[in-house]
Amino acid sequence: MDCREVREQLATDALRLSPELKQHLQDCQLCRAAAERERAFARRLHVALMVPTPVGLADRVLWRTLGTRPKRSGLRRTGLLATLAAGLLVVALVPRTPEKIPTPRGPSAFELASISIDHLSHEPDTPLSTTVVPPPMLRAGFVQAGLALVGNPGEVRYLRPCPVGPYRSLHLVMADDEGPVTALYLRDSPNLGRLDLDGPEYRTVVRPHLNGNWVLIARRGQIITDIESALVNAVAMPPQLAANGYAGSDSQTHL
Amino acid sequence: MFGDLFRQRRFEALVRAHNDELWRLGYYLSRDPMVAEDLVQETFLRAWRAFDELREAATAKAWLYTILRREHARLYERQRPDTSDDETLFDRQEDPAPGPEDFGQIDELRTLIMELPTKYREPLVLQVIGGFSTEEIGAMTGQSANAVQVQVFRARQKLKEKLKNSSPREVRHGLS
Repeated sequence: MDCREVREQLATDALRLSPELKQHLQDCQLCRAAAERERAFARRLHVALMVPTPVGLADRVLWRTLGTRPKRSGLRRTGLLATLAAGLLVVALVPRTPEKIPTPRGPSAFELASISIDHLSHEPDTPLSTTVVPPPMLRAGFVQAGLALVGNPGEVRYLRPCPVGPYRSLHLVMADDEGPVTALYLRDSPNLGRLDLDGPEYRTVVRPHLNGNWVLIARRGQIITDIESALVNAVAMPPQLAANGYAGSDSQTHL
Repeated sequence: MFGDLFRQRRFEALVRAHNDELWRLGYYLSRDPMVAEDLVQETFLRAWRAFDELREAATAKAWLYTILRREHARLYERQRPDTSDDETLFDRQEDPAPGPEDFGQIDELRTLIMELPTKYREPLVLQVIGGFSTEEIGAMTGQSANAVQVQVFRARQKLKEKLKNSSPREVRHGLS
């Protein structure tokens, strides 16, 4: 095996070396250096191709094919629902000014928060995702959800279209110094004003935006206005929908 | 009854073992994360229906990849891969290109991979993610091993060239 043949083989697959090639590398310093370069590229290629995959994919596949329910943490689900219930109780007991939570709108905004937390309880591991969603996937995800990404929303560690209650939604997990923030965009949900509910365990914000609402869920007391603003500023209606009068609703929000 | 349960357990193990890499293949074929999930769902649905045909566990991976590729082709009515590259691999190749280990970010590399024509992108993904040899990819895609070798080689060369061209001047300087 001569140097040319060795270089040819290395350039096609530097990780699967034949015995002849290995023998050549032992004797040839230049080819050894070339092999190291190709191996470094192969490693980089492998890392690049290993894009993060959707959380819970196997469960969804099994649910569809076998009807097997995904393995869930009952404790977490109970905890989340208890948190919401406690939060609702706190809100009901604490007097609030009508400007902050308009009475006629409140219950429905709670409903959006409720179905969002219920959805999160079905995917309790998503906030733990640590792999950053690459920009091409991010843009594609927003396009699929009928939105356009026009700015930087921040670091997204999970992205998936999910049905939340009756709404088509985009489910994101945003990185934040204080902890992960779940952001669900509920498309075509009604504009009911902004709701900020800081419950005993979790903070939930419902923020009308464009033709739906963002529902942000974080830990109790966590400041998430930066993430809220970043999402609102980074996301727009695609031009074709905007041109058809699919109007945004930002002008009516109460920030 | 226990036979059914055993069959289901085997299938569940298969799903958990391969769902991620199949999704990645679907993603790089379709360039769409949502379509990728649909492809994985359809692949496993078909696999479950034909599960009894799978005799050897060792061949399961190639079997699943083949189903997913067919599903993708069915979705997009893809043309048969252009095998015009079935020629001597390195006829036009002078010295191998310099290694790009010092330049290029992973994000940039991902973008460049997405920009590769399907005939180069697919065998590259099958090789790197699937771990298949050029012979196996050839069997899967209905091409000769030589044609696959050419495609993989050119995919890598294109990526290296693009990375080199998009690298900072000082890095290129050291490699030119």
